[in-house]
Amino acid sequence: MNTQVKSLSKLISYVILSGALVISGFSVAQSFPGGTAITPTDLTATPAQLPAPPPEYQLNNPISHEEFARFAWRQFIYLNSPAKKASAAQSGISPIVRGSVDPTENFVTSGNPRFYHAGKSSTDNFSNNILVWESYAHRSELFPKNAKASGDFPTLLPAYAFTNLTVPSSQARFNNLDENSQIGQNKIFFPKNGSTPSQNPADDYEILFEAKVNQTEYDYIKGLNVTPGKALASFDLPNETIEIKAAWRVLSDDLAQSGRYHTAEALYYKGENEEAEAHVATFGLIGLHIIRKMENYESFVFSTFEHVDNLKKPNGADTGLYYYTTYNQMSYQGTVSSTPHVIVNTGTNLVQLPLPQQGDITAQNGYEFINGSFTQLTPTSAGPIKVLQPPTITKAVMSVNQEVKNAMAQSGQFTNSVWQYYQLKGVQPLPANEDASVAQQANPLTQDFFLANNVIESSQPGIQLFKGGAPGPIYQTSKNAKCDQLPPVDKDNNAKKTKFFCFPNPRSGASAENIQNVPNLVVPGVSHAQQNSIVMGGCMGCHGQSKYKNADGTTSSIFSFLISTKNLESKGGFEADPFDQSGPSLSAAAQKYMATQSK
Amino acid sequence: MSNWSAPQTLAIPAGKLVVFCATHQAQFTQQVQIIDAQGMPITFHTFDGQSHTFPITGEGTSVNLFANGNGKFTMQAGYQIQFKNSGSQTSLVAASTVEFDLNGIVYGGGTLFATDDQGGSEPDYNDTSLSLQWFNTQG
Repeated sequence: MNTQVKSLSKLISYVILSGALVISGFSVAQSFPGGTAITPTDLTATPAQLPAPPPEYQLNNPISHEEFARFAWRQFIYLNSPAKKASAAQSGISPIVRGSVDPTENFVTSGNPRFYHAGKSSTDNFSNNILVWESYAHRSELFPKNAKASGDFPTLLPAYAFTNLTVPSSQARFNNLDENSQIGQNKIFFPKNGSTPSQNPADDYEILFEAKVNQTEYDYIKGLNVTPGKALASFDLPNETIEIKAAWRVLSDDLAQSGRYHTAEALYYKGENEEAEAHVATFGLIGLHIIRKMENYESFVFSTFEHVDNLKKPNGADTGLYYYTTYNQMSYQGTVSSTPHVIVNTGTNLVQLPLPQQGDITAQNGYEFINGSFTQLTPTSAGPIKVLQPPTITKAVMSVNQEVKNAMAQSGQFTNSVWQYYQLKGVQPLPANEDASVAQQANPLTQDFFLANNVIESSQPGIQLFKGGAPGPIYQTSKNAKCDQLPPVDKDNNAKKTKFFCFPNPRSGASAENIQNVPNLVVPGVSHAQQNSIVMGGCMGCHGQSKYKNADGTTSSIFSFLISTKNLESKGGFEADPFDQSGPSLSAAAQKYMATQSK
Repeated sequence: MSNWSAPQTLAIPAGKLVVFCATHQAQFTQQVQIIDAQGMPITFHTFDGQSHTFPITGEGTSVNLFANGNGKFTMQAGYQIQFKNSGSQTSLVAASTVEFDLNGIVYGGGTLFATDDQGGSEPDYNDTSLSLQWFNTQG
């Protein structure tokens, strides 16, 4: 067992055995520059630096949540700084040195509302002004259709081969919005008129998504020697792997001119299945997940940022942000009480919040339906439902957000910057179990236990207040529902299409199952008993269910939903979701996604 | 009438004296109860020595004590607390726990609860207030 794994193993042991943190052993003061107060210098450094990993977490001298929040902000500053421009334009070569920060520019530069467009010429489809993370590899570059990642990443021109289409090179952009749902669970929209949804959601502003990885992950995947049908001896993404998930919205003309959004041209798709076609439009960034694996933090550090106008307009009015579920029933495993609830740690107190009741997705069962007559996306969808913000934001994160705002004001260089309109939602540094009761002292590591972004994970309980097993479809025999049982799976861990597979349920509609008591983290090197004891929540808990079965039969969490056996064997790839997808096609896509996530 | 909130375990050592004080200010009737490991409401004593059994109830928008809202009991393993209101929504329960720990000696502790019955558009966590304090030693 290597040192870093030992440290996590020891930490997990303490957390499990104590229920709360127990002080033991001695502390050694460790330097954590990434956790010091954010100053104007941090915001204006040329270039911005990716903060060094936090030191090992010590139970008797713990890193505070404020420090982790500052670390998350420093990552945001670096990743949203300008990417380095190529020294000279060459045909077939990226105009950006992908994955590298521009040594001559900084976070102030990229905060210009016209940053992207100022770097765009009429003769090239690529802008020279790209953020560091935007230059990362799109998931379809990591796993092209039936092919393997190849080439020298920093110089690669973006090229996208999906299972249902190949993007013409003349249309390629660095941002590629090929996902149209919140991991198959919901589709989410901003009303076009005021705060009230249109009768048909297709008439409103839809939110689209993309996933990207840095060169560390790209090169690791590229370097794997995979024999079809044979598991790798060990699959373990290297330290300094970074994955990004970004949410973008279509902007009204007023919002596009508001100077409050980072905007960029991006690919999006129209048309069903094989008839899908790539299109290009300008979108506004509204959500950003950043996950990074580091020494002592093998389960990644998860952080997420939101645009401050997602729920409330600058004048304080509701934006009317709403979603449709792709299911119309929800269930829990049998052990959940008749009063399902979660316990949130705000950093100052614990809060017990009821969850929706299982059954139909209705107002009576606890969903904030918007009244009116609306067109459903599919025969088994439900909505529109208002996006709510439960009291999950920690005092530490709010304090650090204010600290950053103060630093921006002090610097005097962010008066017109779009970055003043983004805020950290939360950060998850290490796994822990949910606090067992509100009537006890909180575990400091449960702050942001239910980390979720209001535009990327919006529905309760499945993804906004998530813990345990991934929300998936209910499986049942043809006669009796057995919602507590996991479905049969094939050798690729895909749900078998047998008579047990009943989603969408033709009789009662599609259902989402929430298995809240399933341990979901299996970290390499941590003993079996410990692995099976943690029921993590939020982003980390969900990603922890993405596992790889090594050649020796051991299984470990790999925390990436981009990896699959098919993809590793170059037999897969991703499908580009059309933004206007609805009906049977959306049902099928949601079914496929949820089956994959619940493996 | 809403459901009882899911019972929450009290993190107090068994055998310790616990005193409580419960107040309300809400249109909906508020209720609190402490239940034992079998889910049965426990018996407690008010400070005049009378014996009562949970739940206790409070009514009215003026800040006031619940009926029998002051009392004491001896903690036993498995005791849990839960809240209820006469509206349609389950109470939201916020709590903050402290411990009096001086020179490494624990002298006691307590938990302050505040609930919201979801009767308004935004939670204000001012419908029930319950303080619950325990002492390591008596006398």
